[in-house]
Amino acid sequence: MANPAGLHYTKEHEWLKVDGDVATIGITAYAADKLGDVVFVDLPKVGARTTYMKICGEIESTKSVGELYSPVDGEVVEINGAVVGSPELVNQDAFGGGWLIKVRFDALPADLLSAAEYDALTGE
Amino acid sequence: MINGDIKKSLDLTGMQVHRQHAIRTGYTGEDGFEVLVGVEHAEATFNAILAAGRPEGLVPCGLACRDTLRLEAGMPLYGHELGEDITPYEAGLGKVVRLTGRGFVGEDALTKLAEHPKRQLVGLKGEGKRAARAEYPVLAPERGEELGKITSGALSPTLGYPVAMALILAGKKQVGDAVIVDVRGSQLPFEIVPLPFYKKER
Repeated sequence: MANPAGLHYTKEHEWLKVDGDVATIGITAYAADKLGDVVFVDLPKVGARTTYMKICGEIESTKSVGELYSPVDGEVVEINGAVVGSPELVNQDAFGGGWLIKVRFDALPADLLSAAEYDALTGE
Repeated sequence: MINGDIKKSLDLTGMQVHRQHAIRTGYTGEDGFEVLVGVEHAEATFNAILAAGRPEGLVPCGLACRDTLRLEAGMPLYGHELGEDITPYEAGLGKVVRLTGRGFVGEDALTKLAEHPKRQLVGLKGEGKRAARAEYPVLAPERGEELGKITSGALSPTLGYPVAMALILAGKKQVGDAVIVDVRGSQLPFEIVPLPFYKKER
């Protein structure tokens, strides 16, 4: 369950893949594993504003309900329809097909973690 | 199966454990034992049980697993289906109270409450995968009237659908009726079903 080097991470167990001014956002494999089998995801609508460290969605597993915190201020430009229909993608491919939203961000926050820092946080 | 379990439990007597108890008070609806040993022996005992059971597929489990079994078996839990503000008659446990007129603390109060319970404990079966969890409102489909609240709920791994128990107003709904549960803003359909949800074949 290696954390890919090219991504940014948050303490709330999200990952961000930055392409220009758009960040693809998902939850890490570590978080998905801790949640257990994901059975439902509730994502913001395209066009919605997201605010740094404010709840913008919900991830429900068989065990519990987790909240999705936005790691950036910005605007949702795309959501992953595939993961809404097949929430198990979050468990199967957290860093790929299990991505959740794409956000056009105003600026990246300073406190994002590198893969090595996130490894240290999760004891990997 | 249970004979094998007993044999393995007895194997623990070979350990250098000063004092131990194996009891059958587990609250899951499944056959099993609770083993009590001194704190200093707990880790070794746990590891010995794991090692003994591993060839037969034994894995450790946590509270969520045990609580799900408890719910599937329809067993009430204090703080959920039982409490100081829930009478035995509301919890479906009237038969364990003997109102004989011989007198015990609370007998007069319970005698009055036995007649017309305000609420009833019901089992609910859902669709899909989303669980109705404790405290979610249970509504009547007709006009959205609030009937009560979920007391325990989970996606049942054994049955493959969401199950829940709820305390709802007495006399409004019965087994086979449809209700709505407000799952964090989503109005999801549930059906009232008999308890328990699941009975292990002996």
